[in-house]
Amino acid sequence: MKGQEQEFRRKIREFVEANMNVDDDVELKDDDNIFGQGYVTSIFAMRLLNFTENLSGITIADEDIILPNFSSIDAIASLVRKYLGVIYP
Amino acid sequence: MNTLLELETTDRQVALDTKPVKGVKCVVWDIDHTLWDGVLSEGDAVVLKPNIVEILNALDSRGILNSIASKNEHGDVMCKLEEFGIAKYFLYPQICWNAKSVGIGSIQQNLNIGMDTILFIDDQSFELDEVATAHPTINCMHSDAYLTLLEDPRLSPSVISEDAGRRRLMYLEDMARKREEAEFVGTPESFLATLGMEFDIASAKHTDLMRAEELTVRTNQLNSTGITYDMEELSRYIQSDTYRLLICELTDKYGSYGKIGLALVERSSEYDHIKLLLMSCRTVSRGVGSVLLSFLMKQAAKGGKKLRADFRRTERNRQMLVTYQLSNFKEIARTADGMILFENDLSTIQDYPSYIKVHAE
Repeated sequence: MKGQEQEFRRKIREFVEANMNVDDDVELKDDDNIFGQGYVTSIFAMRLLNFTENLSGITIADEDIILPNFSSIDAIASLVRKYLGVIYP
Repeated sequence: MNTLLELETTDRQVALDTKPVKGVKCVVWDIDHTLWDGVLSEGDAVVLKPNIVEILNALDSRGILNSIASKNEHGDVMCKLEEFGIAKYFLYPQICWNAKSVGIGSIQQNLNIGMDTILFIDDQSFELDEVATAHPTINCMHSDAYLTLLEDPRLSPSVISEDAGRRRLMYLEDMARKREEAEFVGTPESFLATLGMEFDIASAKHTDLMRAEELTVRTNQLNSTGITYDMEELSRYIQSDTYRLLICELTDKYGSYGKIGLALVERSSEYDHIKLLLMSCRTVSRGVGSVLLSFLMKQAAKGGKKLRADFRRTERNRQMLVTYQLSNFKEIARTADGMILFENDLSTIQDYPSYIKVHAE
């Protein structure tokens, strides 16, 4: 499960970095606030939601579609773990 | 007589009698024995059936799209349609030897409309059954009845806006954009920057009323409440001092997308309250779904007011929920019948994306 999560985090980071409006030499840490740095827009948040769902195969419930759950790689990984944890306890 | 077809017709008649009529957005035509007499692949000298050109033209000006699902050689059919001067009417024609249900699935995806807004016409019960089984909500019609198309309530919208007559052209402009996008190397955002998009927000005028009503009726996915309004109601809102009805147009270097957004805002001294927000989902891939919302947030902040919005979750409007909640709207109340009240503290207001120029009154 640990290897799977590392792979998942890597893919999310790649997706976010590919869409950031800044120089390539900025590295996104797992706990960096994706939205706070002004790197991406809330429109991107919607694409991030789609990407996360497609990648993990889960559908996120209405009440979990909030900015804090997508604000960093750590946050996204926790969210996905919460859903997959129910499917794979 | 085909018993299955009779039953199907009866069921559909009952359905029509008990539910309000759902408009058809696209007619998908079979070709041999439906659009023309004869079978092209058998070397027949095919002849268009009576009134076909008039019907296609009339549907087109009503803003109803046309497409094809035919088991044939693509090139041969398109050539013949060009000869007849009607090839231009058909978007995303599916002419191949696969099951028609597959082709129709493709058409639905490309046009991004509900399967229940598609009407499939064919002369063969086998094909009608195959398609209806794969897509239970699709509308089906036997080709024998094609002369009734223009009188069919599903194909007779009560209002036809200016945008309606241009609908096919707008889809063609979209295809040109998609082609360019497919060839583009770079981030989606840098592609969007090459389009030179401009977003115009203005108070709705009386000449906009038809299109505004049409938007409330046709838009399902990016619709905050699913409530439809007719021109009379909308006209009262235009005249009222407490309400603002805003309509938005999007253009880019390929042309105009038409009037694609609508917002109805009730203004009091303390709040701006968004009663309705909708965006045509053609705008979603352009990343402008939240531009109108950002504008309303900036306006409220400028006036020192708080911002609220009505929202009703439907089967189709998840994208609108996502737009609201990821723009920092939070649910503060919910009625017993499911109407949600959102509020935004306006602490985080996103700037407009760099790839779009926003003009507002």
